[in-house]
Amino acid sequence: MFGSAARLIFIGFVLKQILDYRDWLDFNRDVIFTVTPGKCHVVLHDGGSEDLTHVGNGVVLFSTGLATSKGHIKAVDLNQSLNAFTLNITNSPERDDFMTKLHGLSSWRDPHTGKLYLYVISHASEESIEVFEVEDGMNLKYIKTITDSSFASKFMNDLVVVGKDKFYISQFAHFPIRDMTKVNLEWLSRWKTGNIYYYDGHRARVVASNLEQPNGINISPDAKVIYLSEWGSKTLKAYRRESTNNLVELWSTYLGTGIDNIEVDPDTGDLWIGAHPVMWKVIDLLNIFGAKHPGQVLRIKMTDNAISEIEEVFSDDGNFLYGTSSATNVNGKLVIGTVSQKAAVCELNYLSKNEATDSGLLPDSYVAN
Amino acid sequence: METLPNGMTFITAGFKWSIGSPHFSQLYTDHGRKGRILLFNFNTPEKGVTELSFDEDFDQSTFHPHGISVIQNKDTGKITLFVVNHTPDEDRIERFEFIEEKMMLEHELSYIDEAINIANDVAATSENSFYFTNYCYSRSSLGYLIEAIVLLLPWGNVVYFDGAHYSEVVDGLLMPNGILLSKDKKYAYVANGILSSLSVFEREANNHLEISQEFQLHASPDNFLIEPKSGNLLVGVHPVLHQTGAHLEAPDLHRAPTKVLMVHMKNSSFADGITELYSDEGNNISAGSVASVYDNKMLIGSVVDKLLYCEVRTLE
Repeated sequence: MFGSAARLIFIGFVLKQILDYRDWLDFNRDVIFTVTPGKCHVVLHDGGSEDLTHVGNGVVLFSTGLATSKGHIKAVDLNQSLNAFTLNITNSPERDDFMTKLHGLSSWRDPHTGKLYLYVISHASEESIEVFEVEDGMNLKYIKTITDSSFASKFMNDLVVVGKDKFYISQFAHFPIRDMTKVNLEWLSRWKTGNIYYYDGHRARVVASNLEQPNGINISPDAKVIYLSEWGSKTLKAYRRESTNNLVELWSTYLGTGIDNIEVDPDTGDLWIGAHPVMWKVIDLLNIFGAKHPGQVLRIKMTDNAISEIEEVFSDDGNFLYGTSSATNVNGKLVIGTVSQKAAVCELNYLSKNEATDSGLLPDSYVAN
Repeated sequence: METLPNGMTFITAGFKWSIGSPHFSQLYTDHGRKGRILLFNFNTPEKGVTELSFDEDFDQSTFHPHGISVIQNKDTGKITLFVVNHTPDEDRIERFEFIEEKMMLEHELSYIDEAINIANDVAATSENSFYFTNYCYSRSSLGYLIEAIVLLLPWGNVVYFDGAHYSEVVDGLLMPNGILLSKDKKYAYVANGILSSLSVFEREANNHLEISQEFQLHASPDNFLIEPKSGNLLVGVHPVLHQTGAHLEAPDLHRAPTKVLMVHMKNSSFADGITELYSDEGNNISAGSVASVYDNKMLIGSVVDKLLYCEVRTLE
């Protein structure tokens, strides 16, 4: 009698795991509504724009070439024409694998010299961070390449720079990007093999572990809180930065969608996140199977570094843009980047105010129409 | 609600039907609510809504309006309203003429028949003929719960009145909600509440309806209206149905989310995409059921909550 009860419980447990896994892959999500904030223009037609950032004066930089091989840093000047152009690189090193498969990027202005630097992750023969000085006239002067033995052969995703050659970097998977089959298996296994490292200018150390595919990482305007997109578990996490640069988890909120890179509005602290709403279609990011992977942009309003409201500002079923991985709001325009395809700029005809809203308000009275 | 090409919008207010909860009925009486028809004009939004009066002979005390259909005679300019009325004894469809000078509705005729069971919405084809949806079969709150919610019996239907006779044109529907005809009157759109879909029917010569397409919306649709510039369908949907149910039972305690969708219609007959125009957790408006767009302005109505007037900036 106990034997059959135990068997039933076991079968029930297995069934639940299967159903949870199916839901995690979003097989039930087949109707995607279109949401556009205004008219959208394509500024980059292919090659992808996995990560982007606004460096000031309406200039947005993109990292391209993740899905192909040779990568470039491209830019669009929102004050001028809406066409992306490639940045010139001076002083480049003599390496075949220089600027291969560019992934996450982060810009940082030195408070003493006022110079602007760009750090970008490159999946070269070993995982590298290429460092450039961004010169006026939109040229990039190569400074150096940073690697570290602890992550050289892994799969790094995004970084956020906090000081000269000091940054937090997310390790997406244990297996390198070269080994896509193993990376896919690692992702599908849902094992928490991801970490966040802190590089102090000389070496890297793990500051957060047991994460499921950590992806985008960024920092609050007051530099006290680090935000992380835990893509595998569809969760947004926040960590407090200690004086030792160690991280202590503050909160973790399930968002229910595959969140990718995070951009932070320096004035309001709003988070702008590119997301992949249907998990299983991520396998076909290169659109070989025509799965038409939908795209989504979320705007998260923050109050005191905690979430106060979540808005979906852009949603597309894959016809216009797919693989949306990053987004930012610059002067009333929404800039959207994708992993392997286009980049677009949309008019933001409406943006709700950023005031903390009370939730759970009781209606004043039962009001008739 | 329904909007005429000149911007005049007729809105039914003070909803109550026999399958509602006792808590709701008590709340309705306590707050002194009654059935009303309101007029709003998109061209003069600052004037808000005006309550229309009825002629003396019409019994307002038993009037609880629900679905509405408005037609304007091209030759005479006469505006006729067909309104589903839930009186305590039976459901009827009332016909009124709108007298603009007096802001009054003159009651012309009450349509009463066995075929009008628990009516939900009506779609007029002429000044004396119309389609209407019957939501379910049971007339009591408990009966509705067992029939439709627990057993999911598809005992709703669509009936056509041709001026003389009532005939069932579609049967076996599960909680059909709104019904609307296309501009050229060749197609009928029916909202399937529980199945979360839009059914597009083709109108035959004998006024029967033949199913042409079933389009999944993944949210429970209520009423449809046509967006005049594009011919696309505007629909108020309930994205989380159990919250809508809780709200309808006790609107003073629960709020329900609202979404307004625009369904892209190719040639008025084939649905092939959805754009979301409004989405709210229920803080601004709960259980929104219908939306009308006129010249980049939108009016959103709800079952028992507010009426919201919005600007539409994202449609080109």
